[in-house]
Amino acid sequence: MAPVAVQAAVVGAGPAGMAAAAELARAGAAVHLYDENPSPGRPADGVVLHASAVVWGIFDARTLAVWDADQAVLVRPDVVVLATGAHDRPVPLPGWTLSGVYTAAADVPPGRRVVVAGASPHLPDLGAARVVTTLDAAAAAGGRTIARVLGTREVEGVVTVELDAGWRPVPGSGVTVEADAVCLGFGRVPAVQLAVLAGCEHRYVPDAGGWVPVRSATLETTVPGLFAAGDAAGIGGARLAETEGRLAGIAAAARLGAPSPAAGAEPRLPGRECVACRHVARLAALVTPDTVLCRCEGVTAAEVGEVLDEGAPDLAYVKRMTRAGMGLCQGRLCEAGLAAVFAHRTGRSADSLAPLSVRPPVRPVPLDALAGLA
Amino acid sequence: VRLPAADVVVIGGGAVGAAVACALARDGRRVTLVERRGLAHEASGANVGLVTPFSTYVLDEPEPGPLFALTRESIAWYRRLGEEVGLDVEYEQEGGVVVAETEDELARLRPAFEAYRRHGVPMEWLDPAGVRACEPAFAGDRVVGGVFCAWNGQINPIRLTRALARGACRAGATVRLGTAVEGITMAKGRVTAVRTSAGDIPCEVAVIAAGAWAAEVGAMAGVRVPVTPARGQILLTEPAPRLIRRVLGGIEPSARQTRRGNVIVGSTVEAVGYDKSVTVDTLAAFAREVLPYFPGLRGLRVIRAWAGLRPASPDHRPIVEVLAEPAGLCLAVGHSRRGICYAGGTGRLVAELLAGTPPFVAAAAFRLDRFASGGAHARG
Repeated sequence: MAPVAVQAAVVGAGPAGMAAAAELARAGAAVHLYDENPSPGRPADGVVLHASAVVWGIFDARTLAVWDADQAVLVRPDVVVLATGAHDRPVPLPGWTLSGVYTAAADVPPGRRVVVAGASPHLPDLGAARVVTTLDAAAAAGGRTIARVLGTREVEGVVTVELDAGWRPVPGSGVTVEADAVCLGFGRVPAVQLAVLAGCEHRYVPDAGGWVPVRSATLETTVPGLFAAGDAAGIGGARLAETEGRLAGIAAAARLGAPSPAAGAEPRLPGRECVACRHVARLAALVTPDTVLCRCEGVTAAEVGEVLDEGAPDLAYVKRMTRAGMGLCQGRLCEAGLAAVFAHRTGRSADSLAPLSVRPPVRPVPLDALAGLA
Repeated sequence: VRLPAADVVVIGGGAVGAAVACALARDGRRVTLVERRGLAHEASGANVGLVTPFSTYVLDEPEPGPLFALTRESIAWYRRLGEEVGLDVEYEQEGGVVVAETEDELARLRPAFEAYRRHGVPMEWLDPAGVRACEPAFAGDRVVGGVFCAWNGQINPIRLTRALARGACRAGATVRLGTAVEGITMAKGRVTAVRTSAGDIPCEVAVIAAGAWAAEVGAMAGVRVPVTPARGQILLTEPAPRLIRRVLGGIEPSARQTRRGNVIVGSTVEAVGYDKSVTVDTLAAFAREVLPYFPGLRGLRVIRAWAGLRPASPDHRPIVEVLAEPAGLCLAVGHSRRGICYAGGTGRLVAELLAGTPPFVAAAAFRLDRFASGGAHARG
């Protein structure tokens, strides 16, 4: 099937994607905005919004494979802005797979006594009434976190532990707390799957949340015509994402030969700083052999440890041998945790561990939809 | 840097290299296996995992011969391997069907069917209703008949490779992952060491089991090895309740269901050099072609697609030989699409060739010099 040619495509309708699409439209470009959510909000005038549209692959550098309204299509834009955002950072802890452990405050059912654990400024806000205790690993003094979630099927409590300034657990500092829910917030990880699949060069930037695409001053990746903006290029929050989106939109429009009215007055970008990203891997010290590292495939730390003992050269090898990261989530719920455990067990630095390879589709796609492509 | 000496250095950590290392270590040799990346990084990690003594490949060898012997030996080993090393290789020998979609195809299966049955392989000749009874999920409308072979089965090729490597280690071998071969040192026409990124390993024998890179490694010892990379793409669905019970041959693409419930669909054979990209056209073609065969897969979601490089030999048969020149160089390469079927047998064959005992299989069939005359190996 020949791809449909379009001028500009933006993937992700969060703050970065909305802003990029708006700038492209303002410059007169025909821009298509794709988002997997059914109602992502109203884009600027002139932007063609595709809601419930999953971009599941990127081929030949810039051809997008989209599952849009139950149809599979290929789209070949002249310029692409990836604004795919971020996902919750998985921090595997003993017991974190028990029923009653959440990462989003909104998911916690009412009436539960909740232990909140994470790192400011990423701590979920549940309101004081329900919170038994808040454990902030990033607290200036006496940071604490969860060493183990207690319970057989459901959360019955937690054992908390003190952390030193570098987030290393302090021996003998355990305290048991009763609770029936846990809400974790250790920050977010850039969603770089499409950028990796496109062949963009990446580098490890702890303050940006981990592996992020290398970009020019105009936010173009190492693949010409492919831009990345917002949390997808490094965690920075909504305001930075919007600024980057505008910048990427202006630059992408210029690439199309459609200079934006805003060209020449591009916003300045502040730096990124993520304290949690710098230290969070040290929490891998809390992982016990029975801790599940990959939920989709039910892979424990013991199984991963066995492969590490056999001389695993890289993270991809752990994946191939144990199936960790091979499930429905494609590693989003486990990769950062696996990397942390790998680094902790082998003494390797996080930046020396190449990220897991990305395989299409980056989101599950029905066989029938694929068949429709031909 | 000089690493501890070995009797044999095995180059390559795919199923073939791991089987060779295991067989040699169990023979009491000091073995070091070196692998540039990780075990099963290439073809052994990107195939459907069929172990099928009877498949459309028997049309090349209608009278059971050396290829059948290799496969039968592999099967015997794989059956006990899991218990030997304490790692489940997910080997299921449920039998399988080779279907024919034209009378012509069916007629070509007949002589092989007769010959294999004469050799004691449990087989059944099936009419279309027999094929459907054997595999209720299969809905090939065009099927005119087929052959059931009780010895056909499936295995997890990654776990197989890991189990073979573990068996090698248990027998005293050293496995060095992330170690690239940079050269083969020779003196007076003999291999004396293998140079690696981790240091030199003095040795008596080097076994090249480098899959799609066999030609490159062969050149290090001045030997022209006619093996080229052939890309194989496969896709995998989310786990589903058991639908496909057996392995099916005679159709492209083939599909099987893993122990975990994922359906693997594949594969291609493409001469595109060392390019391991997955192409959207192939994914679409797999989906379009597999659904009519297995309508029950409709709605199942694809979660991953990837490619590996197969070591293609000109006649798609392995090259297994201890060379006279240079002395101390052994080839275990060119297994094409059938490495999982032949790996175990190849391990035993190499061990016997190096020990100088009569091999269990007519080893002349696998010699390198079969390509010496004529232009039969011009294929890219």
